[in-house]
Amino acid sequence: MQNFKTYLLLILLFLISSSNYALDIDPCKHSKDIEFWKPFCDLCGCATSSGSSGFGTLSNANFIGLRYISQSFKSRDGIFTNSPSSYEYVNTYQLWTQIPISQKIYISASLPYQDLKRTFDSGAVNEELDGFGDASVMGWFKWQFYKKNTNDSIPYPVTRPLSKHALQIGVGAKLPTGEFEEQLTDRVNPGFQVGTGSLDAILSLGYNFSGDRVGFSSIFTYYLKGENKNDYRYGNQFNYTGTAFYRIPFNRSALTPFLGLSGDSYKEIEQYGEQQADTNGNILNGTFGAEYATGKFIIGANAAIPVSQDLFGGNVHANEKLSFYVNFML
Amino acid sequence: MKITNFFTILLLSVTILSCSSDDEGTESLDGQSGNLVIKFDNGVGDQDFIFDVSYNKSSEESYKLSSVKYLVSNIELTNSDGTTFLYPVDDNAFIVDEADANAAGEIWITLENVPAADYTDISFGVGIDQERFLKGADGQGDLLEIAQEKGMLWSWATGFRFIRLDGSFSNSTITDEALNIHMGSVGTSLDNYREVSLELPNTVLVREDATPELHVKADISVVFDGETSVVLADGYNQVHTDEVTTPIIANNIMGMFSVHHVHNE
Repeated sequence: MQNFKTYLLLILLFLISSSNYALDIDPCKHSKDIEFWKPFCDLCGCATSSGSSGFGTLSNANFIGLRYISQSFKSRDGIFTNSPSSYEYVNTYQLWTQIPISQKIYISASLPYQDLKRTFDSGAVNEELDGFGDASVMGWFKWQFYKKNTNDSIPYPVTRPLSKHALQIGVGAKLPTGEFEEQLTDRVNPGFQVGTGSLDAILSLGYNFSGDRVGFSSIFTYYLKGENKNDYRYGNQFNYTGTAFYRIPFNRSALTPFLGLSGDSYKEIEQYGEQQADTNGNILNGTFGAEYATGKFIIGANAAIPVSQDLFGGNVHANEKLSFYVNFML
Repeated sequence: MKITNFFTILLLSVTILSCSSDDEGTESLDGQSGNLVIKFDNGVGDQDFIFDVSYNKSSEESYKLSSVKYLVSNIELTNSDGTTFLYPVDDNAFIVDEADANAAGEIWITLENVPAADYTDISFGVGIDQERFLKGADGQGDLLEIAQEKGMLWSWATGFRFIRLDGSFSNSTITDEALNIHMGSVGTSLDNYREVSLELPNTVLVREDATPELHVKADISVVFDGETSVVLADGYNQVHTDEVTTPIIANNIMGMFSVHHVHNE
């Protein structure tokens, strides 16, 4: 039975990956409708957008929910230090879920809807773009540790008590369900896209400590980015997140404020196999927020404030990121 | 057992993800051609150039300009296999005028029917070479009229102005004195035509259905502070046909251009 479920997961992963290969997006479709944006040129950059906004909630419980993420960027709109700026506003509405397959295996998935807007100092016409973004699917294996049997009084315990530590390993893919518009890479911030058009591998390692009141959760994720149909490949991305939380229980609900750090490091973008200058970067955020659990619902809010950043040779500046979510526990 | 399953998933996922398409690169480009856009973007050092803004130069002088124009010709591209393509000579002379810049401050030159290829280098001349000049007034095509309109021509016998900067300069004792750099060759007696060769930071892929863009940064400050730093008050505020000052400005201009980046489609 256990094996069967594993294979089911395997087949599922395979089907999702291959079906999206078959779902061809017309590579020529992109250029026509956005031709009028062409006269404004700048540098080429990277995907700072919402593909990598974490996978779950603090409690690591199974759920289905909705998440809203708001982020903005300021980008240099030209090649000079006194060039005007453009401002990118990224609103993401995300359906996300974590579904158990077995006791130790679960799947997480997300499907974002992106609503993007860009304004220009130069007075150029505002750009707006919306549509479904890139869905991600991940399979997770959870290692739950058990307490050591130091007490001889229970020689044959029926169930060993769980320790407070757990490890998770996740493998998955980000699928090119969002449309990538090649013309838009002709800007300082090529993260202004609803999708990257590429199939990316996601590898994740997580560690959780959950005490009665205090907990800690950390996750390290590597995004191995694939090349899209336009021979454009976003730089591989490493994301790290560490969050400490404190649970305040009430009669029938609980409030869990949290505080942490998160960061991303991006490699250079490649096009036609050549690296593009000033397209790598890194950012470190301080994060804080809270979750409120009542009944089957979890309501959460999260803010990420950039502490230090150097994105695209300093040409792109990320502002704070806010997210709100409502999850229904499964 | 669990771990085995897990690694099976991992292996399979990686296998799926490594299935990228490698079927490009073998197509023949023979007979294909496309367009190439060259964008000229004038600046002063790392600042975008703006008319009538005062810029400091060496020797404690400053200058303001109300016109910035230069003449570019003989654009030639070098293919990755080493062969070169010279854009048809009759259409291969352009006046880059800051006053013609778009909202982003760029002046565009569009080359049409460029053979599809992967280009790695570009070279062009600043000004008009002797060969073209010797074709006479009738042999210049549209350029003659455009140059006249743009104030880039002296009398025909003297020839074209290769660069034209008009404005004023100041130092500790002089305020807003006239500055006119009208440099060119003088007939056939003084040849100030210069060639510039630039390596491209990324390969430019010209294709039937792709118009790459080449973003050239032109640093106006190099006209005065290039290979030679000139003192405007020492006669370099009026550079016209002089056989000493014009070659110095011409040599400085050779170092004014760089390819900031390219865009492939």
